[in-house]
Amino acid sequence: MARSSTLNRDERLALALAVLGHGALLAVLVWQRPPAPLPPPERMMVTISDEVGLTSAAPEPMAQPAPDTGPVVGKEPPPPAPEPVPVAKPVPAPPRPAPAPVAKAPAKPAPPVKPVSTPKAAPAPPKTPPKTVTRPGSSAFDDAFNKGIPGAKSPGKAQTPPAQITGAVRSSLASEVARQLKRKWQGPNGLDVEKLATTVEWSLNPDGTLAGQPRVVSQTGITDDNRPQVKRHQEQAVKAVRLAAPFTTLPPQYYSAWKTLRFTFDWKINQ
Amino acid sequence: MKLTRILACLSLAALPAALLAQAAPQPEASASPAAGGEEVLTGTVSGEGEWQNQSIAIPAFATNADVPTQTSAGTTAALGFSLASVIYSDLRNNGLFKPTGPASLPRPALGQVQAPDYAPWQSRGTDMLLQGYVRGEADGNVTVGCYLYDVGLGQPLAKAGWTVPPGEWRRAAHKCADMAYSRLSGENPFFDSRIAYVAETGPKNRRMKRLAVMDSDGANHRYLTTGQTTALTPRYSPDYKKILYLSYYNGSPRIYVYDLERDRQDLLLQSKNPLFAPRWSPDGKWVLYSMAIAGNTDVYKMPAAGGNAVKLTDSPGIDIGGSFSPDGSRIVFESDRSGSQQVYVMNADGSGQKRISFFGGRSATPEWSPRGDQIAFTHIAGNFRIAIMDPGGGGLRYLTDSWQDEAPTWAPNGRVIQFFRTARGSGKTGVWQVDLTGKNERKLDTPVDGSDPAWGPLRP
Repeated sequence: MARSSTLNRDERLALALAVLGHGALLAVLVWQRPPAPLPPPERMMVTISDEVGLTSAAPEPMAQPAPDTGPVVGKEPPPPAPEPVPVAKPVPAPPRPAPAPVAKAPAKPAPPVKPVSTPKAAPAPPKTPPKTVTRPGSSAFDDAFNKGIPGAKSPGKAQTPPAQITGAVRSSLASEVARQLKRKWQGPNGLDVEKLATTVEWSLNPDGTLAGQPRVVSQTGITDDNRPQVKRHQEQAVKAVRLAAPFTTLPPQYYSAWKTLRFTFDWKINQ
Repeated sequence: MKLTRILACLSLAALPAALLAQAAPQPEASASPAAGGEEVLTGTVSGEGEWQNQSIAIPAFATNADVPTQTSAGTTAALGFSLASVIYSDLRNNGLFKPTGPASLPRPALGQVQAPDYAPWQSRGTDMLLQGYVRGEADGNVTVGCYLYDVGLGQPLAKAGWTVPPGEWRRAAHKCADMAYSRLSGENPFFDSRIAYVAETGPKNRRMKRLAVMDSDGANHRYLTTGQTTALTPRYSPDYKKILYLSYYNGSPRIYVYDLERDRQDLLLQSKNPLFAPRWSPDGKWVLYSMAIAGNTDVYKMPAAGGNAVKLTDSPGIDIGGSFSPDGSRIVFESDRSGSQQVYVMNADGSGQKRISFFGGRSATPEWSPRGDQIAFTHIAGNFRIAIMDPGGGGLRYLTDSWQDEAPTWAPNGRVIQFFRTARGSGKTGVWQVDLTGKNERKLDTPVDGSDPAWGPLRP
C-alpha cells in the first residue's frame, strides 16, 4: 500500500500498460503457436545399412593409403582405431575383408603385433620410421619393409577387383538399388499400414536379371488394424523387386557384393 | 516370358494360401540369411507421401453373341457395358482406386478376356485391368465372368463367375467389384449389400418419415412404408429377410418386424411407454430395445419371435441403444448415469457394466463393428462427430468433422461407416459414408433426404 502510494498517476498508468502489454504479448504468442505447424522437412533418402557400417570401417584404411604394402599389422592403427584386427587375417584378404566386429578392437591393442606381419609392411604416408622403431614389437626386418616393396606397382585397387569392396562401394550400391526399387514401390492403403515393414531377399544373375523369385524373409509392425494388408504389403514389395529388375546399372566388377540383396520396404504417410 | 508365366501360376495358387497365412503369419520368415555365408547387400526402401490411387481399367464386358436379355440393361452387349459402369462407380467411390470406365476404353474381344494383351494396357499406364464377359443363358439367366490382371507384372490376380437371374444383374457387378476390392485392399468385400434408411420429406416440423431400402450404391431404391406412420431406426436382420424398426402409430410407439419376403409387417412390441432403438442380436434370435418408464430408461432384451422381455440395466438414469458385439457375448450401450451420455459395455446378460468412453464431452449411439475390433459412436463436444474407439475405450479416432454427423452404422466388412449428416440451418439430412482412415467421405444419392441409415450384412 505504502509503496503504491509512492507511484504517481502516470507511473501507475505506465505499470498498468506494461502489464497489459505483457498480457497481450503472451496471448499473441499462445495464440500463434498452433496455426504455425512447420512444414515437415523434405524427405531425403537415407540408406541405413548397419552391416555395411560395420565392415566399412575395416577395409577402408587399407583401400586407400597402402594398397600394395599391406597394412602394418597391429601397428599404429589409423585414427579411427577400432580395428587393428587384421592380425588374424593377413592382408590381401579375399572378398571379405574383415567383418571385424568392432568390439574386438580393445581386446588386443598392441601386443599381438609380433606375429611377423606378412613380408610386406609399410605404414601409410603419415607414419614416419622413427615412430615405428619405438614400437615394442618392431624389428629390423619389419623396418626393412616399411618403405614398401621396391618393385610394387603403384597403389590401386585394380589389381584385385572383387576383393576390394569397401563400405563406400556397398552403400552406393545399396542406394542405387534402393533408388530403382523406390520407383516401383507402392505400399497398400489402410489403417496402420505405415507400421508395416517387409523385408524381401532375392538373388541376381551377373547380367542383373532375377535369379529365382524374390522371397519375403520377414515382416514387422503387424497390428490388428493392419492385418488385412499384411499379405498385400508383402505382395507389393515383391512386385517392386520384380518390376525394378533387371538391375542393369550395377557395376559387374562388384557382382559379388550385389549377388544377393535384402531390402526392407515400408511406406510412411505424411500427415 | 516363360518365367513370368510360371510366377503367375505360382502367385495364383498362392491366393487362397494368402488368407491362411494371415492366421499363421510369416511362413517363410525364418528363411536363411543368405546361404553359404555369402554377403548380402542390404538396404531400406521407404515410400512416402499420400497413397496413390491404383489405376484400374474397366472396359465393357465382352460377349459371345449380342442377344436380347430380360435384364433392365438390354442386350448382352449393352449389359456388358452397364456391368462395367456399375463396377466403375463402385470402385471410384471408395477412395482406393482411380478407375477408368468403359466409356473411354475399347471393348476387348471375347478371346482376350482370359488372355489379355498386356502391352497396350502397359502403355496406357494402367496398373490393373478388370474385365469380363457376359453370356445370355437359354433359361433367361445371365452368366458373368470377371477377371483381374496385374498389368505391370503381366499376370492374373483373381477371377470368378456367377450366373444370376436377370433381375439381379447388378449383383454380379457388385460381386466383381468386391472381388477386385478385396483382392487389392486385403479387406473383406462389401459392395454386394443393401441399406435400409429413413426417407424424409416435408417441412421441418411435420416431417414425413418413411422406411426405404436400396443397394449399397443407391440403386434398386424402394419405399417400404407409406409415411402415414413415422418410421425410425431400421435394422436389417442378419439373414436379410426382415427389417426391425420403430414406428409411432397414433402417438404410441411400436416395434415392427418388416418381412421382406412376404412384404408385410408384424407387430413385435407395443407400449404406452416410449420405446427406442430396436436392434438384432447377431444370431437374429433376440431383439434389444430401450423403454422409458417414468423417466427411467433401461435396456431390455426379448426373443425375436415375441415373448417375455428381460431387463438388462437397472440404473436410475437413461440407459439406451444397445448394440451386440459380433460374437453376441457383449453389448455396448449409452448411459447418462455418470451425469452425461457416455458409452458403456456389459455382458449379454446385463452383468459387468463398465464405462469405456472418457473423452470429454458426450458420447452417444455406439455401434459395434462387425469385425469386433472397433466401436463407432457419435462424439458430442460442440459439434457432432463420428468417431471410433476400440472396445476397451482406447484409440479414439475421429472420422468426420462437420456440424452434425450422427448414428454410425457399419459396412459388412467393418471398414466403412455410414451416418447421417444434418446441414446447418436448412436442417436437411443426407446419408454419408466414410472409411476408417477418415479420408474418403462421400454422400450417397437418395431420392429424398435420408437419415438413420442401417447397413445390412453381405448378401447371402
